[in-house]
Amino acid sequence: MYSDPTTRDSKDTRNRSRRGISLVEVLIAMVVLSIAMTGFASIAMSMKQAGDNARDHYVAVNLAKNRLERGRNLRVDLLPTLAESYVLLNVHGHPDANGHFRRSTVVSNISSTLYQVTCSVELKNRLSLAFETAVENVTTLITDMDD
Amino acid sequence: MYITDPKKQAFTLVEIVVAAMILMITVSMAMMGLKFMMSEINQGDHQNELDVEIQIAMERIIRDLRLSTLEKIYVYPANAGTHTAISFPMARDDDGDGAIELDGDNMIIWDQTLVYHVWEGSPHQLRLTTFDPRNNSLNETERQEQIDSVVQYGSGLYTHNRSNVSTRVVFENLFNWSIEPEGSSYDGYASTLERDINTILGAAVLSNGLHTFEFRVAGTNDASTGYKIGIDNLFASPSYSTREGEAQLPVTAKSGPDPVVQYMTAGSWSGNYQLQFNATAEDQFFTLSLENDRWEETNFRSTGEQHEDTEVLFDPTLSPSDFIVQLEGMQTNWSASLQTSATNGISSSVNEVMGCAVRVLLRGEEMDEGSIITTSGSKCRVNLRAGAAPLLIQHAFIAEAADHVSPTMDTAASTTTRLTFSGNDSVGILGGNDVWSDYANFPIDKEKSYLVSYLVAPVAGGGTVWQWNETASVNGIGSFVIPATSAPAEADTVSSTWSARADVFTTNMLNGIQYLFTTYPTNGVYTSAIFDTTMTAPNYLTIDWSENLPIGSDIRIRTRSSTNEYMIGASSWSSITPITAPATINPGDYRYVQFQAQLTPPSSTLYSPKLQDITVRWEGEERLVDIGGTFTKGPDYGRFDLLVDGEPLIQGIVIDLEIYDYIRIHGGSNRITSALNSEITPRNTGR
Repeated sequence: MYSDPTTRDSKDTRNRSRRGISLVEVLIAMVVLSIAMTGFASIAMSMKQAGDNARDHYVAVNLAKNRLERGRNLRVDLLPTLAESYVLLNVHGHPDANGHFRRSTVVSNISSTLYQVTCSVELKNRLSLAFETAVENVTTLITDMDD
Repeated sequence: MYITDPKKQAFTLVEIVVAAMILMITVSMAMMGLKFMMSEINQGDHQNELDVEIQIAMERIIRDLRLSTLEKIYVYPANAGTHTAISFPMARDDDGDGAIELDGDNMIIWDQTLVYHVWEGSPHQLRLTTFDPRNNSLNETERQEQIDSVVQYGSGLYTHNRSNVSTRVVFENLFNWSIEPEGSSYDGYASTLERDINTILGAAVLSNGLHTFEFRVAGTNDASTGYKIGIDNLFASPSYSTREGEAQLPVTAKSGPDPVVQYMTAGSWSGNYQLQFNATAEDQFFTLSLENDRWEETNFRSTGEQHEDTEVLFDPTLSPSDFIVQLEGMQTNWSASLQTSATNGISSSVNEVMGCAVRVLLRGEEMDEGSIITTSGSKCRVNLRAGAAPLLIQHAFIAEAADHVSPTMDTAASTTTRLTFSGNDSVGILGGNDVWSDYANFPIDKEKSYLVSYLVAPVAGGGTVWQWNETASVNGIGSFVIPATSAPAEADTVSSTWSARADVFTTNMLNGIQYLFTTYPTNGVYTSAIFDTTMTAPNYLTIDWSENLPIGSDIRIRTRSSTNEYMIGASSWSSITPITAPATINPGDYRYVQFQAQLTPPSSTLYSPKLQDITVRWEGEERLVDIGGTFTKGPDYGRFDLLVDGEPLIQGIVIDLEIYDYIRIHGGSNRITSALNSEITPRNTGR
């Protein structure tokens, strides 16, 4: 038996108009949403990390400057004793085996009364917790004004 | 009838609504993200402003102080540990020749007096009061009166030279500001007993060998009632190794009472020891001799240390009591209540297990829902508990489980060991009582699981056990039981293949086995944290340690070094020959060093050797070193100076500065701070 094709099409059309959202549509929407959320989260995380990183560099510079200031307080003949390598420090500049900063000081003798002192402070990566390439270097010349 | 062409079909209302919702959610997320980012940017901007502000202020103070002279500096309050105001003179280049002016005696003409001080208000302010021109005729008392008045009134309007004064605010929102003048003493006063952790007193140049550290009472804070000095620990070498204060006794010289080892009963570090000097007057002192350089490990609680069947304990039997490393064990290492989470348990029905063979699974680390057995040991004993009525056991055995991962009722072949009770196979336990088996030469490995089996006599009045309802296990396995109707015998009890029997039933009640107790394991290893000598190629000298060895036990020490902070590339421990007595060492000449202690008990395994402390020595190099430590503060603690080899510490004027600001962030108010610490030495000598 054959049915009336006009009637059949009409029923199909009604069914199409009542159909729900397909799985593909939902998935695409979810993917779009996820991409947007991931993007915003990523940007926010980057902002936070950049802020923390800037702060660490600020602290590192001050630790290096304080080391040079300590050098200025020394007699010139004692300046070579300022040399050190990879001393772990906390944020206050105190020795700390679990410190977030690592300080090295190099003292070069330019003349008998003129020394170049360079202090380098490395920063521990907050994610990997390893000392990486980030480093702040501060250099000064120190001489004995009495001579 | 009109038929819609699907190719020309528009969006349905539902699709538009859904799309709009997704768009709204996306936009909301974007707005939230944007708001978060803006808040972070705002906080970062404020933080940067604070950092710049504090940097500028500190640079100004440093610049001023550097051009002043140490001899004419006054602080407020005059006799206290923490100073909050400083007064010093400044000179000017009046004629523009690039040099400050000198008088007829070639002495600097001081033109101004600068006073940096705090005005306590809301908010606090850091102020600079300037007296210009300076009245150079004021004497010391008047100079102190001047700074005291400036602090009290916030300006110089009520003190000497008030007609030439001006005051300005350096910045507001001051959070903390303190000044330590050069050569100042450490002030141990605090209103309550507390510990000043990791404080730097100054610096000294230390060469290789022994150095004297003289702690001399310099006086007291006006608020203090005594002259005590308390030292928890010290760091005084290029490696900055921490040394316990009390471990540095005896003193090499003293004036006043003997420094003593003090057990702290109060304060944040109560329960520990410190070096205590109960001085009664100014100028009393004691001298310690410390070597440059060494690593003294006394607490064994550093980050990175590893234990294999060893543990760190506080041993009150030592004098002084201290932390030690010893084997882990000689303790109850499994309990029915822990395995079942049934704290107390209950009695079974009277004669419930009469004539039955019972088997209980004790879960080790590898077992599903395991880790109930906590320590390994070379011998063990089992505690059995009767219910409300007596329990008569004919035979009992312990064996390894055939499967250490999945629960099983089968035992591993050839592992079954009989448990005896005062030398007998059987034991009768009165109702409500429990009994320990004898020690069995059966080693317990905490990673494995074990089955304890026992046969209950088919005697009325002898079949009641204590039971713990197994609710912690998903499988609900408490015990496996061969019922009395099968009339199990000794051979059935000891059989390794209960799973092959059809008459075994599983119950969620853990029957009768209360505890497992082990002696010490036959071997244990403690591996230290990795220590940084901070030297490129240290020449290691000796390793020395204190130990407590029961007869028949020993401690073997291995040492190794590496250029790598994680000891990558260092020799494997197994390739290093251990030493059993303090000796010279040659672990290589690399920067990072580590030791390992292997502890072996006597054959009885009832006692453990104890490692009390260990010291690694090497030749120190001459270096400028920060000297400091952790010191006690309290209401009866005084001020002290530290002299190293008879010389005062190198220390400029130390200024601590911290400011704050409030910002609105994430819907609330948040305080951000910026802190800076600087050390300055005035350069001008007055000449």
